[in-house]
Amino acid sequence: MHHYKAFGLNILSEIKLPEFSDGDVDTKHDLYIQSASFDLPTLEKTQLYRRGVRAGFAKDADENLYLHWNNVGSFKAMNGNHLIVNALVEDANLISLFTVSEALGLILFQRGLFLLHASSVQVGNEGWCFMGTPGAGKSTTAAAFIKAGCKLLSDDLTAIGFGNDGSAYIVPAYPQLKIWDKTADGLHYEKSELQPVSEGVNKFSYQPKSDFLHEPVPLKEVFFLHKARNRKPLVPLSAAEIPTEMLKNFPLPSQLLTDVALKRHFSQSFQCTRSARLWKKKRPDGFENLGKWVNECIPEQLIAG
Amino acid sequence: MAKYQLTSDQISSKVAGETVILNHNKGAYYGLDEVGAVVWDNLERGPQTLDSLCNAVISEYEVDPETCKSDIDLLLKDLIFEKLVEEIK
Repeated sequence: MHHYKAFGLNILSEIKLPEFSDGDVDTKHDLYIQSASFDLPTLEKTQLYRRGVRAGFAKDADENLYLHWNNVGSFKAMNGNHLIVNALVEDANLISLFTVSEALGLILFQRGLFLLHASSVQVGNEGWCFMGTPGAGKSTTAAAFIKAGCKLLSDDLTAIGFGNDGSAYIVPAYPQLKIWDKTADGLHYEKSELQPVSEGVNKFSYQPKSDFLHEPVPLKEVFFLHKARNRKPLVPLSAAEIPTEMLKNFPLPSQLLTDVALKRHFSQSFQCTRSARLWKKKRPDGFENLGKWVNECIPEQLIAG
Repeated sequence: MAKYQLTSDQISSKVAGETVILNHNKGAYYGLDEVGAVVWDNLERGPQTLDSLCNAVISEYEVDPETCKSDIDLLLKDLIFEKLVEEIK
């Protein structure tokens, strides 16, 4: 058995998930990850691809959620506290990659968290979140903030919760940020501090295991990154764009967002605006301009420290 | 006189004076102009008649009652068609 901590959850897992922080053996678990086979209901196609494989999705009468990737694995999320993994390959790294992304996302969704396909960092005491279409620079922007002394909160999947007073906060995910080879070079990351990503693509992973904090961080700034030169560099999101832009960056199958769940997503989208400012931002051209923007953003005490 | 109320298919939110509505049954989003938002705000307080809605708009905008009435009537028809508003029989 393995004990982990991720997304604020104490996790007891039958499979190894090296991406996660080590958990406390004596703490009662919130999520049990089991390795077992199970029957799949009829699947629907989704808009989700990972490693070039398209995910199938299903929901059964008991509200259990299923994701299936051909020749990789099937996942069954139950009740927000039980995830069953049916591995269809031997490669343990591949299974953990698929487990800690959308499959875990299903559990977070069942627990009522607001999910975004985004990377997040802590700037001073604030949670900042970056999203955009693939290639818009989510992870690169996060990497630039981290290089300047900010802490990583999440990469790829950002979970947002709401306090009793209604304020939004980012739940830190786990200490891994994947960056491109040229990003590592461009931002002057020490290659010795990075791990090559198993998939053989020219990506590296930055794993700040020792100084990763699991305390929630108030959500303050949300940037929708784009590369369009014909638009202004920074504009606030209009009210009408808020629910639809959030929807575009929903990281799980769109089939999940019907009726009550869609209503919840709509309310949570606007609830974010009570705590945070939402921007459409043109991504700075080149690493030098990115670094310049980052330095303008971060509080002085952080640079000094 | 007929009264109008918001349906259970809708949920709305207001940011910086702009109102955005979702019909979560259909999965469709809507925006309202300034006058539309006045009408919506009043419907949020409870069922309204065409006259009460018209009075609310006239108290904020300089418009003659006839034009106001026919404009609001048109808006209500649109909102009813989109199942955001219903007439109470």
